[in-house]
Amino acid sequence: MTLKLLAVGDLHLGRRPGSLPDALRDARSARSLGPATALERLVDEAINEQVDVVALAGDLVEAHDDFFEAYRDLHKAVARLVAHNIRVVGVAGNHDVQVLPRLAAELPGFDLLGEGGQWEETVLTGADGSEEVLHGWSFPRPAVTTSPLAGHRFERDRRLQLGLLHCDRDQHGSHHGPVTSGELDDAGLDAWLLGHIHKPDALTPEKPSGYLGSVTALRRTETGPRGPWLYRLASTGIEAVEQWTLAPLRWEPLEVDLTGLQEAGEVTTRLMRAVREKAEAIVAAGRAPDALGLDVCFAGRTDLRRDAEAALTDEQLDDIPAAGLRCFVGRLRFETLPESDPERLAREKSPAGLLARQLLILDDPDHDDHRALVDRARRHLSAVAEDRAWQPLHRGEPNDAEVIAWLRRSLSISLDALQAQRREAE
Amino acid sequence: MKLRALHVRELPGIAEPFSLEELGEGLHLISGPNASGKSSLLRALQLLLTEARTGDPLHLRLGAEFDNDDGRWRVERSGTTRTWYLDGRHADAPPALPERETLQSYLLGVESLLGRSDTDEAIGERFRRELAGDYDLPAVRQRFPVSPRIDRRHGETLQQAERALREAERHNQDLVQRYRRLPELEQQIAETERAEQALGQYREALEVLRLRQRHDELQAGLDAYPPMPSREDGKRCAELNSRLETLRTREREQQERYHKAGERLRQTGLDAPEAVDVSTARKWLNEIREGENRLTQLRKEHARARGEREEAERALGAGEPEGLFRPDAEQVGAIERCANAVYEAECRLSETRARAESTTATGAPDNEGRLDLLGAVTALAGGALLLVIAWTSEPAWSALGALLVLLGAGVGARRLLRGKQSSDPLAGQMLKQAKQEHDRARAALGEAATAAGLQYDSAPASSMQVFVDRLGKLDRARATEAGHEAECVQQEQDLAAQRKRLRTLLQKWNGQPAGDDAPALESALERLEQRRDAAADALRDMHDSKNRLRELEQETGETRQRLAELFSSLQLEPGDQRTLEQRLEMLPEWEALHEKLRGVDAQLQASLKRLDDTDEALARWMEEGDQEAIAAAIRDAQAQIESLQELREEKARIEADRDQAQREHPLEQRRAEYDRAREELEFLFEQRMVAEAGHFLLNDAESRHRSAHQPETLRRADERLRTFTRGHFSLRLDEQAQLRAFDERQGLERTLEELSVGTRMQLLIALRLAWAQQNEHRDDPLPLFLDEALTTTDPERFDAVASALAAESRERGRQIFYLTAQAEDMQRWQRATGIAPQHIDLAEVRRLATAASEPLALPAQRSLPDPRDSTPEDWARQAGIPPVNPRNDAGAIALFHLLRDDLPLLHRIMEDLRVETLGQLDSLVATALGRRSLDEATRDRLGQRIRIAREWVAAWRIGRGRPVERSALEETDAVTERQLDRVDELAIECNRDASAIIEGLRNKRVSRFQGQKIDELEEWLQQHGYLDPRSPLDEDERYRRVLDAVQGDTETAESIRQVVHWLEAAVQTSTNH
Repeated sequence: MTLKLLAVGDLHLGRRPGSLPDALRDARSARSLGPATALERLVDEAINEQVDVVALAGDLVEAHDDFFEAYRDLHKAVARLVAHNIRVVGVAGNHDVQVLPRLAAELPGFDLLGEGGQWEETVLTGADGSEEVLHGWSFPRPAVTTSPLAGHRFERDRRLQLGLLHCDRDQHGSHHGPVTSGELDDAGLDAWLLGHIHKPDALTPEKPSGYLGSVTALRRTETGPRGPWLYRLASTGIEAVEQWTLAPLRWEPLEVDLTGLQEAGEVTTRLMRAVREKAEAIVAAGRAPDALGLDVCFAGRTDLRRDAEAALTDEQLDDIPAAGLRCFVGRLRFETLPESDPERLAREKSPAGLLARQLLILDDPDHDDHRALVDRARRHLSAVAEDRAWQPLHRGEPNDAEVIAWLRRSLSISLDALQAQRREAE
Repeated sequence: MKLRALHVRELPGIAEPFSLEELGEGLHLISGPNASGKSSLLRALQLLLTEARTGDPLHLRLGAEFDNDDGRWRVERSGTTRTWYLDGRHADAPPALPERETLQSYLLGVESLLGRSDTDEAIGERFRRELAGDYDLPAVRQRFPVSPRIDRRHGETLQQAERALREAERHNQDLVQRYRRLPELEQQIAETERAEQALGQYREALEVLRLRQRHDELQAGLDAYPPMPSREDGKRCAELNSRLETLRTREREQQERYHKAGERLRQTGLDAPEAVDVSTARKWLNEIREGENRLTQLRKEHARARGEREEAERALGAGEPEGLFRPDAEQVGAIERCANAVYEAECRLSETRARAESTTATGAPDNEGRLDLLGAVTALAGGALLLVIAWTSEPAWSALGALLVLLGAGVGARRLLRGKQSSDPLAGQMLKQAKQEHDRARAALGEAATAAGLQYDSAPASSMQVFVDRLGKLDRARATEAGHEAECVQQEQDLAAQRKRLRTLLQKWNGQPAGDDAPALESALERLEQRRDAAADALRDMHDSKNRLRELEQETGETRQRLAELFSSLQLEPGDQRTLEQRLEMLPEWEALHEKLRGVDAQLQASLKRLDDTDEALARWMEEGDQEAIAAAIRDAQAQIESLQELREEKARIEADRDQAQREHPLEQRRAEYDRAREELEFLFEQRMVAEAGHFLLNDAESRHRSAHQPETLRRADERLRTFTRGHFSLRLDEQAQLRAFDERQGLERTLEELSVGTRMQLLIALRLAWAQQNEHRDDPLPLFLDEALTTTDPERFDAVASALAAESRERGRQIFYLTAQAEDMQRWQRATGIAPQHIDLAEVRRLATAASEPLALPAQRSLPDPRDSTPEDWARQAGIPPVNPRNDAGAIALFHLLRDDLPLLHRIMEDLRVETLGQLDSLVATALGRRSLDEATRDRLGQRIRIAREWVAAWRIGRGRPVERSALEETDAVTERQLDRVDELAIECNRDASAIIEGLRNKRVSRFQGQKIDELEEWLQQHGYLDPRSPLDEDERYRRVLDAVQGDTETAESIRQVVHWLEAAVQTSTNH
């Protein structure tokens, strides 16, 4: 007999997913794709599957003092689990230092481990009487600059030892419980169930330690499957680790190669085909989301970039039915290059040639002029980035990667335009 | 090609022909007053050197002579015909000459230098084509739209969203804090409610005491009154009195009624009308009436009977009634006996007949016969009876009648006997016998009758029958009459008796009738009845009255009793109406007082009821009337509950806010809005960065392409202009490849139209000169004519241009002809070039009268102090070096501030190159003049110090922006012509600080300057460097920024620090803020 433990990563109740199309931005639709719905589903599934324990790795709510909105959803969900005799344990992350202690005080079936920043262990008992030990530590305050593992020694015994921790791994100087991989390994536990980073690690029985990831995508950049993880624990060890991809919303990058495009209208065909293939793959993997957001990048070499852009302006990209999913394009960008060889173009004594040379320089970090070009561009762009329009973004100075990306994208546009002029002139 | 002579024979505007001959090499100064023909020389040359075209004057005769390697050329123009000669021979083709537009480059008239000409446009177009490299770069730039305004608007949107989110978070925090108070709040409310309730009771108790006191006061007031009647009492009393009065009235009425009834009774004369048996009287009267009727009837019958009798008598011959047959007794007896015998015989006959008849037919009894017999017997019997009666009574004729009856009966019997015949012989025999007996009897009778005087028909049966009949009739009539008479008598007697009886009755009751007849009796009876009725009425009235009087008396007694009781209850003597009325007058006042008391009592009771369950302490206080204790308790409670309403409202607000938060998710909503605004701004940021990167790369590519492929002409013209202006201005093309002059001092680009006349002329001179040089196909320069082109040029620039032209003349062998009306220009040329140009006095050539004019004295040239004798500070003061104003372009920085450590070099640059500012030097070091004047190391050093200064100015300007001069306000579209003065005044007041100006505008210091225009102006100022939202850097930060920018150059960090320090120290104090 195994003990079924459902490990839940960051939820951030109180937030709605971003980058939604207008048709899904209303409160109701957005919430239906957000963490509240994900929580409801995982509770349903936990009850159906009769899990023994649900372990919450912190950041269940977005605002640490959201006692009226998100707290209500959380309370209801945990109460349901408790009502079905499912044990619920959790640790507080940097976002829920106030909410979880209150939940523990109000809901007797919920155990908050390590309240106040003190390590605490609890025994998880399976239906067959087998026992596993779960160690937990909760954020005492929103900012923790020291490692929770520092100076702590875990007492081991023959039982399976698990750790539940919200932390920032290998981020020296972090204010969110910085720990190192070494500390985690040295702790000597059989598995670490980590919260804070939204990108999940590839957890397996062989490698059961890592970030659980966000339960559902909150931003366009949170791509890939999302959901809680079911650990099947036995006295002999971790038998299985399975991700329940029950997130209502999923984001995926989608690169569409436009090389060889013969006419502009074909871009739609290629795009729809790529969308369909992606959707089918996701559906085939099981537990499909309700909506699939796509971060589309057109790449490759084509001289029809502008026409392709124009062809897409009339396309309905907010609602693409594919494989039974509602798909939408959240972001669309072109990073194509003209068909002509940039090296040949770079030999031209013309502005186009100069731009092509700049492209080659950008693609070659070892080029003598690479650094100077990037620095000059950064100085120029920094001055623009200091415009008061961007102050609310609280950005720092652009880094090299950003500058290079912007330069490349602009070069893509410029070269496309110049090549088009050349073709027209010819 | 050298111009050797010019002949103007006929030209519009020229009256007399003239010639310039023996023109030599190098510089020529052609002087002459206005209208001396100077400009005509240029016109003449243009007309000679270009093909004729429409618009050229027709009346032309011009000629010129040129020398080149080919020989001596001569050109003649007459009208539209132009002819070239080479060495005196007609030439097949003219010499190689530039295009018409290019020719303008050689003929620089002041008019053509005042504005852009076709030549300049052609030059510009050529530049554009070359610099674009056959690409439409502006079209590519359009792929990178930049909309700072939109970006800022989104930035503001995100800020608003952030503020809204923060507000929602604050609101949530506030709600959390408030919600935490809820249990405490509820407890406070509960306590306060208890206190409120207690307060209510305390107040109630206080009220009770007050009411009690009031009660006592009112009661005392009431007690002062005598026993008061109520309104009801008064009303009752009035009612009772009224009632008594009514009773009395009614009593009187009843008494009167009684008396009147008694009078009426008396008048009826009947004391006991009930005893008046009117019914009996009426009955008797009816009998009397009936009797009278009967009597009347009897009398009628009697009269009729008499008549019949008389008739019968007449029938019998008895004559008149007076002659009425009156048989005696014997006669009558005889008749009677005879009649009896007749009767008996008739009876036997009848029987016999009957027996015989009955056995004839059916043997049935003969009813008819029996009836006849019966009738006969009856008649006989009757007659016998009547006879007896009649005989014994009067009148006698009645006996006769009876007799007649008998007779008649006998006749009847006879008839009877004659009835039916029997067939029985025995019977017949018997019958015959009977008949014989009958006849015998009848005969006897007849005899008797005749004896008595009766007419008796002794005829056979029929006559007898008639006689009997008549006799019978008479008898009957007589009997009848007698009977009737007897009846009448009897009736009269009876009637008399009844009348008497009735009258007696009537008399008994004083109802004497007027007569005895029925009507009189009727009348008397009716009167009696009336009297009886009247008596009965009267008696009833009297009875009623009496009863009523009894009732009235009783009621009066009761009423009096009630009245007495009423008075008694009021402690008044019975009948003391006056006192009662007095008291009734006091009643409203008393009632008011009583009402008050009642009200007070009611309130008191209500209050006491509400205080039923009060605590012991309060009950005791009330009992003891301890107001002080209660008041103290009230104060305590009031203090406690002052905030109850607030507490309740606060609780309600908290709960409402909580519910609203749970329902509307405002925190989540604001966060979502913030995230969305942030996403949009991030997207715009990306777009903008890509666009800016695009512009950066395009500008960079274009700049380098231009640098690499800059038209030689432009480069040359640029160098010339820098030389002419001592580096003040350089020449460049803008994005549209339009010619622009760049002010190296102020760092501003200026269109040709924005330049001063002098600078514009110098620019065009430089441009056309470079163009001409570039387009001359061989080293055979054409002469250059400048018609008063340097008139408005300041001395330094004059020297620069003149020097350049002299160098052109010297180096390329070009003739330079300078036309001027200024006599002192000769001195200028001499001073600038060191040589005296060849002078041609056009007025003299044309023999025009001129006023002699003395040349003006040229102003002395400025000289700088000797740097060897001074400290840098002294030298700067002596030289009048201005401080550094980093608000201006770095180009305006005086060179002193970069070369304090090398004053000799500074002196040389300023003195020899006539360069004073950083911009001029930066511009000049790139020119040939600069290269000639300064060695490479010096140029490098100067270049780096120039960079340091430029970077330092850029660092200093962070957060400051340039001063907003009037020209900037004129340039922007945000300020209208009408507003310009007022906005400029504001700018002056704000020390030309852009942010202060904007703030002033937002504070409406310039009326009707709309908000949208303020935004537009702000954006323009920011775009053009007048407004910088960043925080200013301090000195160290500026130094580090400069160091970061220029480090790596040959200048050491120490020297960089040195230069920066100089610049910091030299900053004008008024700019430091």
